[in-house]
Amino acid sequence: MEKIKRIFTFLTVFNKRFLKKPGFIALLLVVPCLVLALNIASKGESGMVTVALAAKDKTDALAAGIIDEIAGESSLIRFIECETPEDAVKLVEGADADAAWIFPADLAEKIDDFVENRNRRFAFVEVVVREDTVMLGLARERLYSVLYPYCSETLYANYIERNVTELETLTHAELISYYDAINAEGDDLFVFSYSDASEDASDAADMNYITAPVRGLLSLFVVMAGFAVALFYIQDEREGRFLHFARKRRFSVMTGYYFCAIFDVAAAVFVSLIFSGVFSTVAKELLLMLIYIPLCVGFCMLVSQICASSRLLGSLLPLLAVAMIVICPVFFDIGLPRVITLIFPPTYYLIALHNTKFIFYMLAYTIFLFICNFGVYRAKLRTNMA
Amino acid sequence: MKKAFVYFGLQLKRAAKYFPFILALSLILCICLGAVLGAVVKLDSASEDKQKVTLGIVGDTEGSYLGFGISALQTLDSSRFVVEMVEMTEDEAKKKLENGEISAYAVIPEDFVDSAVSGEIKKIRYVTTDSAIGVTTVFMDEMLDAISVMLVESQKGVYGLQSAMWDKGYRAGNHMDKLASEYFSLILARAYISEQTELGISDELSFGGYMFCGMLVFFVLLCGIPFCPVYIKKDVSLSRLMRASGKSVFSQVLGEYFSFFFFMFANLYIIVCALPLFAGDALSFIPELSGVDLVWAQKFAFSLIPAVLLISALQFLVYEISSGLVGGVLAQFLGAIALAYVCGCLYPINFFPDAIKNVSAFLPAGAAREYICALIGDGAQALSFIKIFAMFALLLSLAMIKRRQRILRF
Repeated sequence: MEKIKRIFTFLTVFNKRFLKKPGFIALLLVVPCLVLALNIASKGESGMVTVALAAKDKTDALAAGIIDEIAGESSLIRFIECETPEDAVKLVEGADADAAWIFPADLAEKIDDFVENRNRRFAFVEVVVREDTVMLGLARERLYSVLYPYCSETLYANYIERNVTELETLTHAELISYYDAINAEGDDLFVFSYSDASEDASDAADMNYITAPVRGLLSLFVVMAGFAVALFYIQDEREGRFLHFARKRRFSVMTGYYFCAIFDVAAAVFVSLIFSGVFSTVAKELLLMLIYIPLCVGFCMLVSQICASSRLLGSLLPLLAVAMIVICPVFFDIGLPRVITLIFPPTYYLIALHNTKFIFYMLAYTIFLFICNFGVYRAKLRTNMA
Repeated sequence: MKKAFVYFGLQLKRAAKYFPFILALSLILCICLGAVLGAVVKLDSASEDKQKVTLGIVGDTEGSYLGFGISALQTLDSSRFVVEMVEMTEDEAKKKLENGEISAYAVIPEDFVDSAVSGEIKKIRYVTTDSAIGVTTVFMDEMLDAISVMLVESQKGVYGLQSAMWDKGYRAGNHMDKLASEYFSLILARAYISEQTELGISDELSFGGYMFCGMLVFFVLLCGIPFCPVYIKKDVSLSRLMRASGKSVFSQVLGEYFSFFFFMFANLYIIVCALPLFAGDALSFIPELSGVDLVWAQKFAFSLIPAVLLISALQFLVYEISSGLVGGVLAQFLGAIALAYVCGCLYPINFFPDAIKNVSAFLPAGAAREYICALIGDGAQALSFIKIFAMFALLLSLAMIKRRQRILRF
């Protein structure tokens, strides 16, 4: 009991050392505010691709209807309706839009010609871009999906009128009524799920791409906090603040020291996650964070023990930050072998959210890191480097 | 004045001890950021030689229409430039998904085609991991929506014909097959609906050029972290002593700031000059940088001075505000990542809502990015110089106020 009390006293003393610094407290308060501000700002109209829409003939009801339909709903593409095709092209030239989609006059007739011939010579929508990109290619799928129902109806009517003699008594309107009467299912043809079958991923596609990297960035922030603590620890050690602890005991002192600061930052990150719009459930987030803290402690301790110099570690920090941003799936998965991505703690934290197996991997990696840490520490003791 | 220069010289000497480490790591960092830039530009380019998303297909596709459909999509459809489909078992798919070898897999129900023929469409399970969630998932959702629309509309056509024939007392059999194949050909030909004209990048930047500017700003922002142990002051007793001996806060801050700026600029100068020497050909994926030489690099490096002045003034203010190393390093990291993100250094700024765009134009990283983009594009304008120098003066004044406050606080 006395021992536990002593440990708590030490942890409180270490924690006081960080929390008495107003700059550190201010920083912990700033993080949730920044995340909340980003979450609010991300609700505004935005798009990964901006497309200018214009019709050559503004009086063409079909073209106007299609433009309205296209501009209707998309989380990724921002549409700007233009008065004339020239205005739309100007937006592209000035880089205010990534592409312009221009609809011809007599659209119905042009659709008819295309459905009849189905080749490039009968293309009827003019697409103007500055340079072609994958995103613009995917955005065009939306154009095709909006035009497809018109093409489909035309193909159906043309086929029957030209080939099915048994139905020649039916008028065009009657044929279309048969087409419209079919209530085909398929609006939700695809059901999203995670590889962990117990998880529902129905909201995966509804996510906001602006706040999507927030979880990854916050998890990086916790690791960077660990490295900052490492610099501080090296400085304190150099100044002889731990001299009254026996050398053999300094491993637990070091662990407690790292743990306190990382815990404070992790608490701020947890609160930030609540405001981020990517929060899962309290139980899950809490469990993940509680496992993530010792993982970060182990990882940062090991790197700092290996570096052992504040100059080297300080210089390494930007490199480690970039490496984690790129290698861990924070912004995108660049398809590196999983073994490489699993070196860094944020990978476990991000994947474990929807794959419970990774919670166990996280625990195993934490134990492995602490064994390595202890090994390095003992080796340093033996060689008089600790 | 002489005293100010002496102090500046001393600060240079102090920081010079750290510079070799910082430079060596900056070079590695630069190579990493260059690799990231290359990967991002390649991911975004719509070239035919690279599939962007690998999708596993799970389900019995052998000897069925489905298998034929998938191979047709892979050889004829426009989606083949974006998605590569690979058939596999569910266990294989799970393993590959966990190893990051595929972005997702689709599980097609056993009698999917038969049920579709009978008018009922069974749901396809699209399995992904959280690591793949993000832009890819949202884009895939857009594409899957398009597939759903095509399937539903084609069904309406085929079953509309069947329904009309039945009403007239005929069997539709042969005509249904023919119409279904017409629909198949229409789906494959959908890319011919549009004809594309590429204007070229003209005065504006290409995606690669833009991202180069963004990464450069991100690099400068990150370079503030390694200088933390040099410039963060735990106590200001020396500054107090200097002030008592007649050395003003103004000259103290200027002396320290310019020594910091000197090393930041030296770091960037060496890296920019190394670009044409060691990475000339590797930069060919950025049209604006093709054929650059050492003379261009020198000119470009010196043109970057306003941007470096501004960002280093911001970093210096953070050093001044931070009372400890932990807070300082974290503040530098948070500042770098948050500013780089909202100022369009990691994503193009057009991705963001207008509110973020407007704010970012008045943030140091946003102003610096705009300035560098203008340098590479059609040339910087006087207005951006004025904006940068106004921000620079403001940030440095804040640093002086903070230092004065700390000196006067007992």
